Amino acid sequence: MKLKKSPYIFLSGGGNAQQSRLLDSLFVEKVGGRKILYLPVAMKRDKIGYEACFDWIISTLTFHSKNFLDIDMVTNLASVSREYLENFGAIYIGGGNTYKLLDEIRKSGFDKLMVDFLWKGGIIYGGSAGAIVLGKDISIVSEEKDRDISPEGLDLINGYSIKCHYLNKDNKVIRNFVKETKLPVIAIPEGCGLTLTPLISQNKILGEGIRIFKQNVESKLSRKTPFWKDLVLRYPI
Amino acid sequence: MTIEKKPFGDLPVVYQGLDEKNRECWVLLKETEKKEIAKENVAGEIDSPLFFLEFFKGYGFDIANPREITNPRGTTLFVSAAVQILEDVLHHDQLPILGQRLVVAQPVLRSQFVGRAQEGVSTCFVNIGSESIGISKDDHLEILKIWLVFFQYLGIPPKELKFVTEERVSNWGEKKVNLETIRVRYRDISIGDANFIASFPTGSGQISISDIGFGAERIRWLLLSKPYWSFLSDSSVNFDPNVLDSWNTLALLGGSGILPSNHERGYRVRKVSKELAGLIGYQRSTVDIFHLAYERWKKWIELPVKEAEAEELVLRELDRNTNALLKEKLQEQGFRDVGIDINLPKDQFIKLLRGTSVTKKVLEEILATMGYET
Repeated sequence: MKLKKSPYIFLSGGGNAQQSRLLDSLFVEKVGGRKILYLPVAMKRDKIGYEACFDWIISTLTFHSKNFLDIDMVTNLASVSREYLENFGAIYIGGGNTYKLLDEIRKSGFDKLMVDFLWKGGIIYGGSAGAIVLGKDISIVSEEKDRDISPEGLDLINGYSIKCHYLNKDNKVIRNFVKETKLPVIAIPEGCGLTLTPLISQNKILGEGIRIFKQNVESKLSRKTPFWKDLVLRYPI
Repeated sequence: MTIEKKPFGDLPVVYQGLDEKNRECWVLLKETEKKEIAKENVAGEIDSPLFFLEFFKGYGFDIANPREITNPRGTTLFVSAAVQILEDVLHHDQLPILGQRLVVAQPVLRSQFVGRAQEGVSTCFVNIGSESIGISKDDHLEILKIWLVFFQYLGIPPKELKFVTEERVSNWGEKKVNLETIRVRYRDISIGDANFIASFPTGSGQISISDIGFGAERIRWLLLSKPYWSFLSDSSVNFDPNVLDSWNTLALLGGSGILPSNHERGYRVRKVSKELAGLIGYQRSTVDIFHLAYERWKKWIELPVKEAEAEELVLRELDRNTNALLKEKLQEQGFRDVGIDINLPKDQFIKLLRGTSVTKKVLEEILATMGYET
């Protein structure tokens, strides 16, 4: 299958707009003149809170563009149709509670729309909880669990689970997760990020300190580590 | 078997079961005391601030002025709820008047509805609300009872209301608070909610907040059984809801003096204008909706920019965004950007385009689809 556009995933370890500015800047550059769909649904917010979310995304992203950046905010995923999604070049999934986010994505059927969107050449940006749901298993952040749902994530990162806001003190929890689930983990500190595509040459590591945890193996992620090629996005068969 | 509980103080309610989000639903066991007699044909009066404010004044409430939509010194760039009239007290350490009962008719903006308007849903609307700080939960519920009397007065039998209860943690600015919410539904459509925060941190210590707010346009819509957008005009059924919503939003933002930009407050103006440009192209026959909306907003809030000036500002931005759209369409057809400034008046912009390599036939075809008339 020949695709006009290449799918892109941006994974952000979280943090404030200043910390994520390099990744955000790359994201805005990649989006170009296309529209961005912003999803703050991981947040437990009310009527004032969602307006604050929109203020935040505008201040975070428009700073990186000379031109008008067209962003739509949707707070009810069930209202998003395949046809509506065709208007967008990118989906930005914001942070908050990972379990709430995954629950809303699954219940609304947005998971299928999002996967189709990606493989048709869409761009997905996951920040914090938004990044974790793209991984294999969200129980890496079991402390956020507030509802009884399957922790199975969208598994778009080749079987890896994602840990954001990573600090050295998280190593024990991550090692236990790897031991119990036998799943590899990408641990991303705040201010760091990854861009992943089907072409290894286009993939990027931003910032220092992203680590890979596998059974009996731990390593700082760099272009030289053998795991780097694991992170090339693979089209579904 | 129905279960009787008293989660609403002495307001007798009957448990109805869980809704689709696993929240408890309740209805009233009996009518509230009839302190007022419902007037005939009073429903249409909900679209008047005086009617609503005077009613609550009769119950000892003080009338508060609405906050400017641009929410100066507020926690958000725009006011999105009536409770934000308390922001100076709650976030900037002004001394609160404890126990004072305020009533306000507050125009608000909710960005998630830009481009997603429909019957019952608009980006801007009037949030009528009662706001008090430093009162007990019982007093909060007493105020809710006054609202039920108000609804009865309007012609909504309280027994037809459904209450959905929810307790959650919510953020307000940098502060995290526990919120007890009673959502009020009429004919299975949400019309507003009653929120009680038992403990909100301020510079003067922890205080309680009672916030009960409803959407004026939505109540009017449900009561009158007329199209939602008839608050602008009875001929609203002839228009796309997003065209109505865009003009309505631009009238409020333009009248409030917000200049379009790619950032911050001006971003909303440009965003809504771009939405409208995509819907009507160069057609300006619907501009009357802007005037109807401006006149209506003026009933609810002081607009610092005069109508003609606001119109000029809005139309100039609309031309800019329509020019940008034309440019995009030409690029989709394979024509390169020849660098003509989209900020030029539309006729001048198109005249200059005609002098470029753009094929006349293609340009005329696109202009025809965009409603351009020479």
